[in-house]
Amino acid sequence: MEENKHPLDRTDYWLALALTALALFVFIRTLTPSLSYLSPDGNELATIPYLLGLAHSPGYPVYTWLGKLFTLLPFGDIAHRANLMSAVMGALSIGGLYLLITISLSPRIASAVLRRAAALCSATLFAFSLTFWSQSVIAEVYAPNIAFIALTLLALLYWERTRRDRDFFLFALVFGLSLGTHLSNIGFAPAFIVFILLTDPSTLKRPRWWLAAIAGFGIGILQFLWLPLRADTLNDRMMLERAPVTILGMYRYTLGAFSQIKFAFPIEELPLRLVLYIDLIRNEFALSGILFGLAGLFSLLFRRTKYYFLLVLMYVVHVWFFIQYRVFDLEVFFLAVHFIWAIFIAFGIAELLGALERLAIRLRSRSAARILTITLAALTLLICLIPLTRNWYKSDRSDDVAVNDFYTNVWEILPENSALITRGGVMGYDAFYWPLIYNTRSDVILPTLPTPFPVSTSIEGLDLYSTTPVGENQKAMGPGALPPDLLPEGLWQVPVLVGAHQNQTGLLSQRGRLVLYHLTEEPPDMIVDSAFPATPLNLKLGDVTLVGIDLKPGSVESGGRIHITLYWKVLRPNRYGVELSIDDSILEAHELGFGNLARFQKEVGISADSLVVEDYWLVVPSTTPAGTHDLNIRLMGSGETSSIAEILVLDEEKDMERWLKIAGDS
Amino acid sequence: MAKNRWGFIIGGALLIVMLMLGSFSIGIYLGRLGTDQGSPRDEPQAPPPIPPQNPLQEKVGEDIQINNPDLVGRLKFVGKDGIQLITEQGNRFVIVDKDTRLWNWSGETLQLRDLGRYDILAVYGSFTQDGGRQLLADLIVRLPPRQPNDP
Repeated sequence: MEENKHPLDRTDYWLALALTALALFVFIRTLTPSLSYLSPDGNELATIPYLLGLAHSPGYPVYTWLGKLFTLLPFGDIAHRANLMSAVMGALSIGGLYLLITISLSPRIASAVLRRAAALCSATLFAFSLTFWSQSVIAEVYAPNIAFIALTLLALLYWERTRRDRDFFLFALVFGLSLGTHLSNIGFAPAFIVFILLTDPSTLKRPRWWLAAIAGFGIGILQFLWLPLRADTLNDRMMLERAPVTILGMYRYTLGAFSQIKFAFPIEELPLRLVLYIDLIRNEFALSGILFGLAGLFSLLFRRTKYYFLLVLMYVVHVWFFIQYRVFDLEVFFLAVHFIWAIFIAFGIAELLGALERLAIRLRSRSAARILTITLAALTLLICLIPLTRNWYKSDRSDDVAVNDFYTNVWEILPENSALITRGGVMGYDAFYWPLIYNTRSDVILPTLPTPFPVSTSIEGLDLYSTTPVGENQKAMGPGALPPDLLPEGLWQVPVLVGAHQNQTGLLSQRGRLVLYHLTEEPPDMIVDSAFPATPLNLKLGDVTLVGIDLKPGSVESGGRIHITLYWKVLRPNRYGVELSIDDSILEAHELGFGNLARFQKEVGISADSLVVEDYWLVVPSTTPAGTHDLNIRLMGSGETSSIAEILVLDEEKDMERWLKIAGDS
Repeated sequence: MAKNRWGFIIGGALLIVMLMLGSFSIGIYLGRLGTDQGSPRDEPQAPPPIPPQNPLQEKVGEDIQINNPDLVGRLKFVGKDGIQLITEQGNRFVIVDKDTRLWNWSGETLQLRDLGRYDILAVYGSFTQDGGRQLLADLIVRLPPRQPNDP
């Protein structure tokens, strides 16, 4: 079988470096500035490395340690640095992918220029595909994991060339370590074994080789001793149920975890799951990417049979496993598979370029053939940059400031010695991040921080606030649910502060809406007989009339808050949706009365002439540019948007400085 | 070439099996969900806002906020115990069990087989299991198709 003797030269290293730099530049430009509103468990993964704690199953020790190194960087806040790790590791994956493709591509396919063009093109397609990009701009395990997969493969191919036992040790070590960024990498083992046997079957007869393999892999997986060592830091109900403090617990926390979502589909469902996977590839690489990948598979088979078996077995095992994985957000689990598919695509592109090049060589003029080759290479690169522009808008997370803006205002608003009720465990880190890292507002009690089973005595006598709905009919189920007897029954949830929702009304919101409620036994003052608002409006919006508003202060620093009071005349009792926006950007949407109106009418009563008052603070996102903006209101369903006030937004303080000041100075 | 013969045969067989499985699966999919439904003309983003003052709210009572679904998206697949939606944030899987109610916009009960590809669905449920990575649907509502002038 064809071997690579000297597959890389200096040009390849420079190109890999340039590609890494380009990817890093793009990922940093689109990086989530700090905590993420969109990632379900990203804020836990941003916090745990700094504390050197234990993340959710399967623990991710290597991710935690690498993350700790990044948190030592001297800029940004801790969450920013954790996000940066994804950007750096994601960019390194791309450089690694380029090197892998260059090593793999047979010199017979095309000239060096076109082979490099194919490798650059495919690596660029993967770098700026939607899912990989999305994971390279938040604190998550997937981008670091792809970097480790790339490193593992590079180490394996390096051993293939040198055949030295110490290089095999290095490969085995990296492979073992890679399980600390995602345990599913263990599924690559059969492919590695086949590749090793195809490369040099005689190694199996050499005890030193076995020792190197076992020692390297063994040292790599020793990282999982971190689990029992740091199990005392767990505060998630489900993680505690399988705490890794015994051998069985270790198994249940790692390989035995998620048993209910593995192999979760009956056999008759598998064809549909496979189509779903094909659709996911189409989302990442378009139909042309599928076709080039298929062509690349044939090319690999005939030109690089050994690599074909390595990559196809890695690919098949992963696809087989994850099409049977029943999770809400499946696409991130296929990233390793997309990474391998990008290599297939490179082979397909190289075959096409090689064929065109062979046609060009038939031209009489050598210079014309050369110009044609260079033009082909340039065109290929340009085409492969299309996803960069097409996916920028969707992948840009630089405006994901909602959680930071909301919580900095929460810490400013909460009175001394109050208690803040939040979701528990992994889902609670939007709030836990601040006291755990910055010791923010140490006077405020967060009962769900130390334990997922807080008792009512821990908040006795304290002024209660909540960022999660706590009413009897409110949804508070799932992994972050509060114990049913934590709070007294019948509390009113009075909105105090409403955060901006990233234009995400009615969309996926595992962490729910960003609202700070004051929990009171007494009903709120939400009804008045008459009112004299500073700005009378008498704006008729369907069956309700907005009589007027009060707005204080007149100007607000971006990321700060304005105090808004809305006076409503409700002509016909019903449920009404109110949406507030700054210019065209939706800030928040809520039900008139914040869900309290029906209960108030039932328990207290509302006379026909009364006015309904909504009184709360509204966060102005720190991405709002300085200047005067229209504050607009719309009654959902009516379709009409009306301007109700002007807000002067200042931008005198940088977002990060403001967040850090509030985090640290509280 | 002779040296690689078995490699080509085994590798080729593997490739043919992969292609056959892929084709077979696409055939099953098209057989179940049909070929005559076109792709949505609009992006999955910006689902129609749901006003709370609609008849469904009375039917569900206070347990569910109709104007605040946990997920809105276009139907991609109907499986035995769940559905796959295309949402603004990607493909999302929603678990459906025997207690899940499925209604149209008027509140009439539907069956999973009544759903068509690219129907816009609002899902109300709870995030369960590890890390909240599964959404179990209590109620699924098929929303009316978007009108061209919808905001």
